[in-house]
Amino acid sequence: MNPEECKFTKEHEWVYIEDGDTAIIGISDYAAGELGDIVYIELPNAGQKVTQMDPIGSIEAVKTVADLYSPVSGEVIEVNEKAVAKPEIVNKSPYDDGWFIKIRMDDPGDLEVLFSYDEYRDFLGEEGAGKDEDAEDR
Amino acid sequence: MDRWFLLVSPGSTGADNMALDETLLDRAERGAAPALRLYSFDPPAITIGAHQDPARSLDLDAVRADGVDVVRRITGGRALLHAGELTYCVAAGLRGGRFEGGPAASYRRISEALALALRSIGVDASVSRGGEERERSGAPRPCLSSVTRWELSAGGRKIAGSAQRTTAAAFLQHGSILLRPGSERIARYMKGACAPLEGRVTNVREELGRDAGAEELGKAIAGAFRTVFGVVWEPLVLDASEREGVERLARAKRTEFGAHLGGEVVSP
Repeated sequence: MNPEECKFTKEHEWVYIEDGDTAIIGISDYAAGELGDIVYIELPNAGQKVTQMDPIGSIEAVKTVADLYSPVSGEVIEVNEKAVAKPEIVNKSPYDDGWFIKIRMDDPGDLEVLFSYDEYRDFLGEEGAGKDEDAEDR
Repeated sequence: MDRWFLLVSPGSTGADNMALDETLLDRAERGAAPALRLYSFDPPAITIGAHQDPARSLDLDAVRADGVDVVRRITGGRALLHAGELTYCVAAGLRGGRFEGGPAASYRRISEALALALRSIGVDASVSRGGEERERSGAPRPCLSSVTRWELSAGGRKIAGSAQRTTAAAFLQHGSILLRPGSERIARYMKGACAPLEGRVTNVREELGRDAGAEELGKAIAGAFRTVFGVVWEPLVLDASEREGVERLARAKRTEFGAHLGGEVVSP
């Protein structure tokens, strides 16, 4: 997925729309980098109904567990079992192989409250996310 | 100056402690001012990470034989025996400047405050800049077996272990600062061969050559948070519904491990 064609949430999830009403969900490269090595992903099951901004799972990195929120409402139609089995692919390929779930959206209007790519970049700047105080150590 | 809540709790069970920490996260999610809680485990207890399978990580026969309290954290990381330590918990909102910049940034700032506290009582503590260590397959390892980025060490050995949970609007970070030997006994309760922790962890007694109690270190931490975060402390008092919530959560936590340990609820 090209991140410039994705929508984003404040919780650093991306949404890519496929076939008009299917939302593919993952986390941004920023989130994957901030979390560090991801060791476990807990995702909803296919068939599960989800509501926009409700918690739907969690991502565990070496020292942090981050809750995962549904960016849209609808029904989970597919889960990326490869990412569940090998969570490190989320670090390696957050926009492609490391996607999480596909949701058939109830209402494409849900997308209106999400950030565009440029808005998300601005949000990261406001959050201080671009300011790496320790860049020289990495 | 920034108003924070401070709660110094008496020693309590694993379930009660973890339930109270979760309640502080819930309060922060709902917009409450940040909270620092200082506490200990009485009796000593094992906590396991949010997604750990106790049957795979722990030797449940040994746990059962010794009647050790076991409880699940909502934070990440591995199994830890809470013994001879002062435990801290920070619960705070993510927005508004204080802890913006993601989990690593908040990890670092809290560790810097804790390092300052330890140094103020004479422990030469520093914040690790080492890279994160990927969880590898093989024998289960306890939480204190490695120093990860932004964690606290003294003389190259780990002196505190911490873990975090991040939600949409808030985060919880709690961790153990080792006052005396005790935590290394986790090796007895890990499944399979477990590399001993001796030599890789240290504690305040060992570093100072004397005992520093939870009260001395607790005061140092409150002072260091004042310096680092510009905190003005206010005592934290939970309301009746929050106290009921803590009790309800603690019951659920005891029930989970009652089932794992053969239906018996240990160390209520």
